[in-house]
Amino acid sequence: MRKWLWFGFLLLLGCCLFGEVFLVHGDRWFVLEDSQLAVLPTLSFSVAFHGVTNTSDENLETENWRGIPLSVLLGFLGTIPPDATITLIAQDGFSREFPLGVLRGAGSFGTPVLALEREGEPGQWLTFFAQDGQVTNEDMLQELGEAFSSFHGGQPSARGLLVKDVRYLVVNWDGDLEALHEQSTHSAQMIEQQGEEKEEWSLSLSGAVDARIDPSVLQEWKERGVHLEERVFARKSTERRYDVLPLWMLVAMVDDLHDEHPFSFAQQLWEDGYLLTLTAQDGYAVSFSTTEMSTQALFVAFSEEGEPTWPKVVGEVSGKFWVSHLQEIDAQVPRAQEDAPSFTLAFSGPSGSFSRTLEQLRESEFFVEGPGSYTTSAGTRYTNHYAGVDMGALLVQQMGMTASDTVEIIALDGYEMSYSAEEILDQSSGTWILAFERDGMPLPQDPGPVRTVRIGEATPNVDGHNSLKMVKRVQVIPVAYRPFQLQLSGLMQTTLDRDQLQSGISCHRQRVVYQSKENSDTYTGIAVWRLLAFVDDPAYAPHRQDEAILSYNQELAAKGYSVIFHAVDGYQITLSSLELDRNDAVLVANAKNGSDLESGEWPLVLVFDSSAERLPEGIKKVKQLAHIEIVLP
Amino acid sequence: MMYKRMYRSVFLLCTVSLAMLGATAWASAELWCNGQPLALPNQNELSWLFGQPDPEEAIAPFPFACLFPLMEEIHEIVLQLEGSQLLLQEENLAEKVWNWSACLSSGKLVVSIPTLGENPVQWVRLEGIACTEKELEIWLSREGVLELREQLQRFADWFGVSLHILEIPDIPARLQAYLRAQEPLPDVFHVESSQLEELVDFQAVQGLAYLFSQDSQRLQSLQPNMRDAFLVNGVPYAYPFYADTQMAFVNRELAGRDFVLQDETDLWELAARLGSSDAWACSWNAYSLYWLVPFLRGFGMDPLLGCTNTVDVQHPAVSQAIDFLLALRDQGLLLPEERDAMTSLFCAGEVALILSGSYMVPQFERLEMEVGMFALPWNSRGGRWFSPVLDCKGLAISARTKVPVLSRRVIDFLSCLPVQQRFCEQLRKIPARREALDRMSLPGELQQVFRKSLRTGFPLPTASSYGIWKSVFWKILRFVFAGQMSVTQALQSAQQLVDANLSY
Repeated sequence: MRKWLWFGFLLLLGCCLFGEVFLVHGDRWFVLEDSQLAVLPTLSFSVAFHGVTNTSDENLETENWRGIPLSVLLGFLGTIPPDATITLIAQDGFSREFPLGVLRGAGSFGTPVLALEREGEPGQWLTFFAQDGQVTNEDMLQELGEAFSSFHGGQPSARGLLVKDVRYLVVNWDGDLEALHEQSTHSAQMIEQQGEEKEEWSLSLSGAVDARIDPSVLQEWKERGVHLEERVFARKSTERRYDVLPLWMLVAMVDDLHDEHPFSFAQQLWEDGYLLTLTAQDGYAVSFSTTEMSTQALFVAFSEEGEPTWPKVVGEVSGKFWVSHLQEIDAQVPRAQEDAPSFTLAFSGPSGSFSRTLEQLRESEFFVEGPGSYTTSAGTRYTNHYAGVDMGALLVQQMGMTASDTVEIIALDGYEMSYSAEEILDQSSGTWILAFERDGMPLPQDPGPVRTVRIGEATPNVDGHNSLKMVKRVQVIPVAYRPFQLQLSGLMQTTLDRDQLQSGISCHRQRVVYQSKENSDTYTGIAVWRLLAFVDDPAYAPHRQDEAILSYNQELAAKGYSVIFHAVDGYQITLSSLELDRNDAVLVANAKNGSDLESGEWPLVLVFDSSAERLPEGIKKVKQLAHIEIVLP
Repeated sequence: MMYKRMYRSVFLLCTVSLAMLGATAWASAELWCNGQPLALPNQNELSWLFGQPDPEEAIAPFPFACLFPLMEEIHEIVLQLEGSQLLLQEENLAEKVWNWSACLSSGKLVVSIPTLGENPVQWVRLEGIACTEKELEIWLSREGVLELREQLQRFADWFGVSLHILEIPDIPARLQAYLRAQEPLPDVFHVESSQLEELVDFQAVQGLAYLFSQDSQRLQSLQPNMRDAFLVNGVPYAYPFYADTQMAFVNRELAGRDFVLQDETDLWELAARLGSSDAWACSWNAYSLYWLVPFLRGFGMDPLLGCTNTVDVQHPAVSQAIDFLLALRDQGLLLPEERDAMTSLFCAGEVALILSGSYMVPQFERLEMEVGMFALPWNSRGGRWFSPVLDCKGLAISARTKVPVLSRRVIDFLSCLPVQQRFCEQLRKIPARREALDRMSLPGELQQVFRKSLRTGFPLPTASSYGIWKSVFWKILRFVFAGQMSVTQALQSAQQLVDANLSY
C-alpha cells in the first residue's frame, strides 16, 4: 500500500517537475532543469529497433529522435568506477540497469541518448543512436549479454531497451526509491530558493572617468524619465524582444569630463575614433574602433522577452559583439588623470600623522631637485640628478619639527635610521630630500620608490648607510638626537658612529631577553661577534671587499683571544673569543623594550640572553659601553 | 496516423536512397558549407598544412574544422553516415568542431566526435556564418619561433587570412609599455604561467572560461597540471601550449653507461664512480629559488604558497632543503654554478650531472653528446619526489582584441593534435594535449622523463608573491652558500623582506 502511495506521489511530482533530470552518484546530486538541458549538445538521428517479432529488416519501424548523449550527462558525475552500473529510473518507478561501458557509448551497438524529442513530441526517453540506423536483437545480446538485455515473453526485444519518462540516472543504485525521492524533493526546493536569490548584476564603465550601474541605478533612471526602448533583434534566425538603451548612452557617462551633464555624448570623439572594449563576466572581451561602428548599431539590453536579465549587448551586428553578462565597458579615451598605483609616504610626530602620495608631494611647495650622490660601504659612488621634497622644510612646516628633535626614518624592509633634526635643517652641505625621481624618471617601484639623499649645487655626497632606500615612514621624535661612538681596537682600529651602528643593527637585528633580579627586559642590538669582524684581522672589515670574502675571522676566534669591554666609567670585563664565536646570544644593544636605552645604560650596553645555553664565562652586563678591545695571547 | 506512416515511408525511402548515393560517392566524401560544395583535401595537402615532411606518412587525426572555411558561428551540421543521418545543433559548435577529429582512411573520411565515437561519413553539410576577420597580430617568444612561424604561415595560406607574426623577447614588458602608451596590443601572444597574474593585473589578457564552460572535452584533452597552470583566481587566462620540465642530464662518459638516477643516494654513488677524477659529481644553479623548489617539495613543502599566496620562508622544508644542498656542497659533490657555467663544465666533462631544463635536450642532441636523461629522483630522506617545475607556456588572447574569433581559431589550430605532435617532437617539449604525447616519437628515456615529470611535477604559482620570494632568495642563497649568513639568519631576513614587499 505504501508503495502505491509513493507511486501516486511520484506521478504528482512528475507533473510538477517535468523536464528535470536528477543525476546521482553517492552523495553527489545534480539536477538539470529544462533550461540547462536545452544548452547541452544534442544530436538528431533516425533509428529502428528490433522487437520480439522482428527477425529481419522488413518490418522495422524507423523513428526520428533528438537528444543528449548520455555520456555528456555522466560527465557531470565525475569519476565513476569502471565496473559500476547505471540505472535509469522512469517517472513511474520503472527502471533499467546498464553497465557503465554501454552508457558511455564504448560498445559497438550504439550511443545511448537521453532523447528530448521523439517524432517531434517532447519528452524524456532513453534511446540509442546507431550508425547503421538499426538496433537489432543480435546487437543487443552480443553487447549486453542476457543479464542486461531486454526480453518480452522470453524472447529478446531490443525495443524494450527504451525507457520512457526518464527521471533519474543513478550510479550503483541500491533500489531505494523512497530515499531517492526525498532527496530529489529537497534538491528541487534548493533550486527554487536559488532561483529567488539570483545574483544582482553590476556593470562598470571606464574612460575619462569611472562609473558603475546596477539595478538600483537603472530603476533611478527610469524614475527620472529615462525610457528603455523595446527592440526586436534576431539571432540564429530566432527573434527576441529586448528592452534596451543605446550603447552610446552608457559610453556618454565616461567619454569625457562632465560633472554637470553626465549623459552628454562626445559624438565628435566617437567619430574621431577610440577603442571601445566590451567584457563579459566570464572573461570574453571584444574591442572595436568607434570609427568602424555606427552609434546606432549596438544596444545594451536589460530585459529579454519581458524578463529582467544581466546586461547584454545586442544589435544587428556580428555575433561576436553579442556579449552576454556584460560586466565592463571600457572607452580608451584620454583619462582625467593617470591612474598608476600611488605610493603613499607616511609621516608622524607629536603633532599627529598624515600620508601623502608621491603625486601630492610632487605638487607641493616642498618639491626640489638637484644633483646628489652617495658612496656605498664598498666604496662605489653613485651620482645622479634627484628630485623630491625638502625634508627639513616639510617637517618644520607640517610637523612642527625643531632643531632639537630626532628624525627616524623607517624603510619597507624594517630598516631604521635616525638623523638629528639639526643635521636635516643644516643647508651648508646641501638639502636633505625624500627623493622619488632620479634623472627625470620615477625611482623604481621595486624595491621602493623613495630614498633619502642630499642634493645641492656642489653635488654633496653622503655615506651609503645614510642614504636610506625603500623609505615608507618618517617620524619626528621630540627627543634630542645625541650622537655617540663605539671604539673598536685590535688588529685594526675603527670607530663606529651612531648612524653606522644603527645601520648594522637594522641589517643584523637580534633580540635577547635579559633577566635581572627584578625584571625581564628585551634588548635589541647586534651580536658582538659581528663587531669583532671590524678588528679581528689587518685586512678585511665588513662591507669593504668582495662579498665572497668573509670579514669575520673565525679561524682566529677559534684559536682564542681576549675581548675586553670598556664602559665610559672605566668598568671592564674580559670574555673569550672561543665563547663569543658566532654567539648570537651576546649583543651590543641600543634599545630596551622597544625604546631608547635609559640614561644609565645609554648609548650602548653589552647584554646577553640569560637563558642561553652557551654563555661566556664571567659575562656581566656592561652599561654605557664605549670601547671593545681585542687582545691576542 | 496515415500522415505519420506516409512520412515514415518517405523518410525511409530518402534514407535508403541517400545511402545508395553515398555508397557511389564513398571514395570521396562530399563537403558542403552554406550550400556551396567544397573539395575534400587529400593526404598531400594535409601533410603540407601540418608540416609533415613525408607526405606518405599517415597523418595524425586533424581538426574537423580544417575541412571548412573559418567559421564565426555554426548553426547546424548534418553528417550522412552509412545508414543514418546525424544532425547536430548546439551552442558553440564553431568552437567544438576544432575538438572533433577527422582522418582520411583509405580515401574515406572518418569523423570522430567526442561522446559519439568514430563515424565514417559520406557527406557533411554545414550551415553557419563564415568568419569575416582576416588579419591578426601574434607575438611569439622562446624556443621554436621559426617552426611556429612556418606553421602559422601555412594556417594563414590554408584559410586565406593574414597573420603578422613577431618575435618579442620580453612580451610582458612590451605589453605593459603598449598598454601605458595606449598602443594597439597584439591579438594573441605567448605567455609563461608565472607571468600571468601580472598580465591579468594589467588587464592585458582576457579570461578564457567561455572556451571551457560549454565544452568539457577541451578540458579533458589537456594535461591537468598544465591546464591548471594558467588559472588565476580559478579563471583560465591562457590556453596551455607546451611545457619544459626540470630534469637531470648525466655525462655517460663520466658516470658510466649503467648509471641510473633513482633516489638522492645515487648522487653519492656517482661521486664514488668518479673516484680520484677532478670532475665534480653534480652542478646546478643552487643560488636560484627556481632550482631550490624541487628540493622544497622533496622535503614536504606542498603547496609552495599559502592559501592567500603568502610565503612561509621559515617552513621546515626550506631549511631542510638548504641544509641538504649545503651538505652536498660541503662533501664536494655539488658545485653551485649558474646556467651557462654549469653547461660549459658539463660539456667539457668536468661535471658528471647537471640539473637543467628539457629545453637543453635539442642542444645536447646537436652536440651528439652521450647524455643520459633522468627525471628528478626520489628523496628517500623526505619520503617524497623531488618534484620538477613544469615551465608552462600558453597562448593568451589580448583583452583588447578586435578579432576574438580569429584569435581563437589560431589558438585552436596551434593546439590541435598534428601541430602539437610535430612541434613538441621537434623541440622536445611536453605537449599540452594529452594524446599528442602518446603519439610523439621520442628517445625512450626522454619519453619516460616527460611522463614521470607530468606525474610528479607541478607548474610554478602564477601569484606575484612567488616572484618576490625568488628575487629575495637570489641574494639570500648567495649569502648562505658563501657562509656569510647562517641558514636560520638568512631565512629570518628573507621572511622579513618578503613580508615587507608583500605588504607593500
